[in-house]
Amino acid sequence: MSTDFLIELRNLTVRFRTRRGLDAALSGKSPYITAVDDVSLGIPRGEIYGLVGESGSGKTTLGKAILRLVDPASGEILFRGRDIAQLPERRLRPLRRQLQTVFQDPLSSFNPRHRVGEALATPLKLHRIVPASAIPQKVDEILLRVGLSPVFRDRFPHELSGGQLQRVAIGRALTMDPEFIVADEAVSKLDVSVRAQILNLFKDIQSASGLTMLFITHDLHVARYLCTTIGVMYFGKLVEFGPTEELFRSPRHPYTEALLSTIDSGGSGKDWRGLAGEAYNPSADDRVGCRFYKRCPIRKDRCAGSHPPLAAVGRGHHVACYERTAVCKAA
Amino acid sequence: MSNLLEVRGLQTTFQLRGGAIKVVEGVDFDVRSGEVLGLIGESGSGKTVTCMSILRLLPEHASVKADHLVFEGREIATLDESEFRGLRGRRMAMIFQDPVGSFNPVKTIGWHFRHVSRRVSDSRPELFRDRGAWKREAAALLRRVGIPHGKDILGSYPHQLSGGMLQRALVALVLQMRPALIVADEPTTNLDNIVEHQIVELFRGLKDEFQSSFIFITHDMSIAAKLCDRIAVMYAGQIVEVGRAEDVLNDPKHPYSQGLVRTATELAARVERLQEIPGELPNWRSMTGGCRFKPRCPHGRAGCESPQPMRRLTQGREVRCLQHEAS
Repeated sequence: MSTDFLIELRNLTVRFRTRRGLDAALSGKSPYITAVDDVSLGIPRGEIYGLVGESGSGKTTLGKAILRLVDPASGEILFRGRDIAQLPERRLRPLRRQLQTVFQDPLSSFNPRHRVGEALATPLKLHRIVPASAIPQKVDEILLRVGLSPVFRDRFPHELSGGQLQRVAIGRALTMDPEFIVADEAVSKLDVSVRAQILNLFKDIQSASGLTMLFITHDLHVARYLCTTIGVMYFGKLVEFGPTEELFRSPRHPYTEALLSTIDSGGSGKDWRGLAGEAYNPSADDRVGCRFYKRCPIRKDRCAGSHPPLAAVGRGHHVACYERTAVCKAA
Repeated sequence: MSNLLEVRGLQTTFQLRGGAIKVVEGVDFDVRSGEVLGLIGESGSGKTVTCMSILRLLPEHASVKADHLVFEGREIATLDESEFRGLRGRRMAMIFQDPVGSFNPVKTIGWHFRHVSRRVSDSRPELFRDRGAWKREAAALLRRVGIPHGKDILGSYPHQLSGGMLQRALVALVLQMRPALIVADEPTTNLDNIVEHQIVELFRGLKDEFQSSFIFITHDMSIAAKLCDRIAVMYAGQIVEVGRAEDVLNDPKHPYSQGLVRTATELAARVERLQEIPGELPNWRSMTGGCRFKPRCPHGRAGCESPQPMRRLTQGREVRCLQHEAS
């Protein structure tokens, strides 16, 4: 692949151990669940990449793996072309300031006993970004940048509303002028009337500083508003990705179709009721066949054999589905 | 249509260490028989507290007052606790946002169904006609809410089911009581898109099938549009607009509802830049007597600082805004 990717994942796999010792030996089942399963994707520099999928599909784990907050089992994480998947913590630390994150719940991502000013000053001190004397001024700058008045410096997190606190969280991620931010459901817990403000803030920051972002969300409208490329995850697998508008106009994977039909207010009449069946159970870890097989309305026998690889169906548009790629080739 | 529930002048106050705060003030609304009333607003607007006040589910430091609280033609504000227990969990029920917390984790799903069946054995004696009657009814209801192998699930424990399945099971459990009024408090918020869609479809089917009325609490305009007959928009403890769902959603009159509807439609329509509602919800302690939306309102003018009554526009359409004074 070309080099204009800031972040590139190659066959990234993350496993969590769920059974140990005797239990693992006697149950006869795999002691692991695979949260992220052989995912390869590239995030172009200066773009917001949206990752959508239901809870449990591995979106958050993928984001954490890029930040090296969970350790991958195998695969490569290329940051500026350099593999950081196996770097030891000591060598990772200088990179940490380049890789920042904004979490879903702003209140739990702050120390309740630290004032906002302290919360913003701590990373500045740790990474010695500016001399100690310049810290208060830098803190005020950050607050203004995310649309807050400097009086918030002396407030405690519980004194701020969700929207204000999320602004501080975004500010904290920006203190070190990172190159890459993972925003994990960063607007999901916010009130409807405040959500637009924060979405616009993300948009402004991105266009002002050319930041690269992985935006994890389950809200398709939000993804469409912010992101240039969208990837769809289903139980650890990336099943489809493509340019936002193309994905929305002509989704190829049956799961993406089902997701999009839920927001289609007109009701396209597509029968997604077939999806009512049991979702794929990752703990069973019977990792054979397409992950979507049990719920898929267009499944064929061969789909039970092995999970389909991602194949191109358009410019920058890839899908992991035997049926849909076959149709494309025939056409 | 007759009114199943009439609420007038509902006021809920929490006694806190720093003094009392009024979380719900002067709330009036009706729920008609067989309709779905959408209660819309953001978190902290008092939607849940309003419903919990009516069902008397609030903790002791909350005091609830109402001029008039009539359910099935009977004043319920003055009932004592033991009389009220005959209604709650029998004639009126609530479905909470978090299905996991609504079940006893050490009891099976079947235990919950048996428990509920016992509670309503006066009004539904057929559930105990023979030994397995309640079980058959439970399995049938579980099938109805989209769990085809409902009978097997009765032996399962809550943690063995997914969030969507538990939410369905909870809906079935409430239907087993055949209540006249079901309050559903954001029942889809914690669920995934596809499951959310399925649950909304489920409610849509249920309202025709069972003779129940629903109060559906949500902050999501698109869900309200799919499901509700009428909508009441709440802001900072007051209802600011009431009307038929299509009227409120197509032509909102209150500046706050206008902002909410605009955000939802703009996101769906993919605009270049979203219009924001500036500011945040007001602080409970610093609330003034006048219009509570005034600090964020683009149309604020002289007169907004005095208390605003609900103004009637047309039959069944009311709005709490000075702009509509003349009409």
